[in-house]
Amino acid sequence: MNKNFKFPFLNPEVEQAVQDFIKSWNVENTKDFGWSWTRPLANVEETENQFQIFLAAPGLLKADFKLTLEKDILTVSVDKNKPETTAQKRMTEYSYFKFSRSFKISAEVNQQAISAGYENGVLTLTLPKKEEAVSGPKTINII
Amino acid sequence: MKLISYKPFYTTRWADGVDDTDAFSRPSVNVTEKDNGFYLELVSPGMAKEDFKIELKQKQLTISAEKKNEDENKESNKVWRREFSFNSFKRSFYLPETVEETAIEASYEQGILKVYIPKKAELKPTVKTIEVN
Repeated sequence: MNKNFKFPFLNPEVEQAVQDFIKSWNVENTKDFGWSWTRPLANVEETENQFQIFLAAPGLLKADFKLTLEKDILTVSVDKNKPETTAQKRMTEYSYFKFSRSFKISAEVNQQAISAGYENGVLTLTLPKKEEAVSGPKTINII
Repeated sequence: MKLISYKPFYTTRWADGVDDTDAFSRPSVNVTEKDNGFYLELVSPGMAKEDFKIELKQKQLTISAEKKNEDENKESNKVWRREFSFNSFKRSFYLPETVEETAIEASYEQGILKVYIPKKAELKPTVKTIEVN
């Protein structure tokens, strides 16, 4: 969905509401709406020090992934041309050549320290927490 | 030239009794056909080569997997979202009559199990030139 798309003939308030709805819809990971490609499945886990997002997107190269962070929205996207082939399709249940998934990340995350790795078809995003989020509230002794 | 008159690889549990895993954990498969054979590509990320077992019994190719090394310390993690798991699965396919069963090859690359099923040599389209004497 084009972000700059304006709905004609709507009063600004309604338009804003519609835009907000679309925005929230994007965040809810349905941006990759469509039948011709597969929405990669994700697992999200949290430990004491970090969050981890595991995205099952097999058959790609590390360089195929594009990661963007806009405020608190982390987006993983792939836009790859399908290789030309003379092979006849006999059965098609997936296609990972084009997709995009967004995640709203917690305010606890240290955005500078986000890292990613790709192994065995799983993209692993590691989002370390900020130090103050890990250490928690400090107790102050009364002298 | 059309060598196969029915749809190979398609299996339906309710019709032929092939014991597949339930639909939720069934891995997706793409099958393409070239002159030399069939290429079956099964999505199964996060596995190791050793986890897969491929069996052939009377034209029925069965691919199964059992995750041997379960990730440790997983229980202490807080799970926010779980859409996939590295679980065991089993999926069967009926092969067409035209394939060379003894020459099937498999490899595991970036989360995709690739199975090459060659066609029998006499069925591959060949170009024969006939000399004029």
